[in-house]
Amino acid sequence: MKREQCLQNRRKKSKLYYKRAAVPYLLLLPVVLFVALFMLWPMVNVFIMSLQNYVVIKPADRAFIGLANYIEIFTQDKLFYKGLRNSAVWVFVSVALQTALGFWLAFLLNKRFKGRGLYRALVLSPWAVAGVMVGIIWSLILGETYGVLNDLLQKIGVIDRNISWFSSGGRAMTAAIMANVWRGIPFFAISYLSALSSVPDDIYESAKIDGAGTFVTLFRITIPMIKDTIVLTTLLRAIWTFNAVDLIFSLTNGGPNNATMTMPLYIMSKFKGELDYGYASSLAAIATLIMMIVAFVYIKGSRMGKEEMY
Amino acid sequence: MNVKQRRRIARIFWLHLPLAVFIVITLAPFYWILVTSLKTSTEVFARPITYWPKVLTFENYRYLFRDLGFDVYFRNSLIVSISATCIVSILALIGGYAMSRYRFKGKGLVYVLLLFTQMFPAVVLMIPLFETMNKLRLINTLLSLIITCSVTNLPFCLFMMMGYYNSIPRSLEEAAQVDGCSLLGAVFRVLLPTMRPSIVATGAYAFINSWNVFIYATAFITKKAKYTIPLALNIFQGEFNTNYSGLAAGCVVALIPVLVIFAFIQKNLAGGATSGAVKG
Repeated sequence: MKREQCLQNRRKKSKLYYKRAAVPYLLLLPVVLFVALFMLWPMVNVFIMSLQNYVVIKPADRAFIGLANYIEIFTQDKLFYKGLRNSAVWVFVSVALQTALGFWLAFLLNKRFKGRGLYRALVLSPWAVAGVMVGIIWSLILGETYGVLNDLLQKIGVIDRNISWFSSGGRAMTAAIMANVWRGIPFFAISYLSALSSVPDDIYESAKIDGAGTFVTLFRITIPMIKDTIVLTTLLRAIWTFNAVDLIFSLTNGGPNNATMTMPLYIMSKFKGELDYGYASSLAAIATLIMMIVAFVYIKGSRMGKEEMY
Repeated sequence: MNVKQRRRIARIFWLHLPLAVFIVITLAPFYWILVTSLKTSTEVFARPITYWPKVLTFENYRYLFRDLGFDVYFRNSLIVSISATCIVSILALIGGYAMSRYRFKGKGLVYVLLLFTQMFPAVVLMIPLFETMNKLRLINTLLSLIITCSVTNLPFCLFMMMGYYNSIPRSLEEAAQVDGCSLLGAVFRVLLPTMRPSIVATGAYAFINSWNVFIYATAFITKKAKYTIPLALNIFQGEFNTNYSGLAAGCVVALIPVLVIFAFIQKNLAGGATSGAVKG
């Protein structure tokens, strides 16, 4: 009798135990289901479609063709290599400039001055502007005859004839990067700012007492202290910059002569323009893999999270 | 020159001057788009370029709403953004709690999986999602965009939420429980009220991203009646050709909601964006 009760108790207890243990899973279930259904499964689908000959307007020809798409990309597709090169320039220059300028801005915002709250809200506002709109806004600024930048540059005497920003490849890329940097600085400033304010003041105090100057403090204390943030921010931004098509799409649409055709834009043109889903999927799969390898190497190489400062 | 004076000059040179340059470069494009939207379409091309409209006109805005149907696009964008914001906020709030407060098997896997999704390019997801939406018969519906906006914003918002939860000591809920609250009561009465600014920031993040969503819109929406604002702007950018003042007016209309929201929440955005992920 007693033993039975004891057993029953234990069973009850274990029921309660499982009930407790199930809580986090139940809480996460909707998120995981949602993400699995609309992100992970589609991603698997991309890899499956990349092995198919699948052009929407020719549904009868749909069939598995193995690695044929990939082989065609690597051996015959010149635009693929051009797209990769353009993407590399686009990502590297954008992120490098954004990192430096964003850090500078965060450094300034971390100081005390009058009207800082309002200043912050204003100076960070490009963060919220959609890529498409950044493209439109900058196309109105850079236009050859009606654009304000040419007029300004002439007034201060830097140029004496209007520059046609979108007729040469190099200038079009410069324009796209300029617009992208304008939009991206706030994102960096926001994340650096919160990291900077987490660095305790007494470290600066003691460095000052030890006679360290501004630059020594910056490179020996501030930057190492917030290194993890720098690594993560640059990585996230590099990924997003690599993926972003809307800005270039509305500013240059890949032109002139494909000089600003980045990888994702190329994928989009295959998908929307030629309706070649199979080929677009192969390109997409390659782009994703390249990005993952780069991200992995970057995280390993930068020894993120390994630094022991405290 | 004494030390005090020299310090003041140094402050102007190293602080105020760069601050001024930053703000001018940031705001000039906004100024230009606003001024352009108030010009007549002929004045846009007039030489010399005018930095303030000679003839101030609101005709461009009237044209947008009366002739181009921007009222419909505006409403569509609102429906998509508000719905996605609600879904994302609720799910991130619930999921973030589990990620922050519980230890369980597979937590690392969930974390990595969610981080992993941050790498998926929109152009890549667009292809299979188009297929899925097509099968679900959701092409040319706002629901397709609501689903996509929710799911693409969810992982990052969950990280943000997790960071916010992590910054609040667990003892807060425990104290409430000791005082006789149930766990649920503790969460609703104690935890959530202290988190309100964070919840608002997360929601605003999702709202702004959903308002700006473009790639998926180009893939899923072809009917004019279902256009969202960025899509409409992009299509009119092609059609307009020379009506740049109308295009500028469209940009201004599209910018107002996000800029207002951003101005209010940018303070709370600071910590969340990366601290959740770094500390994880």
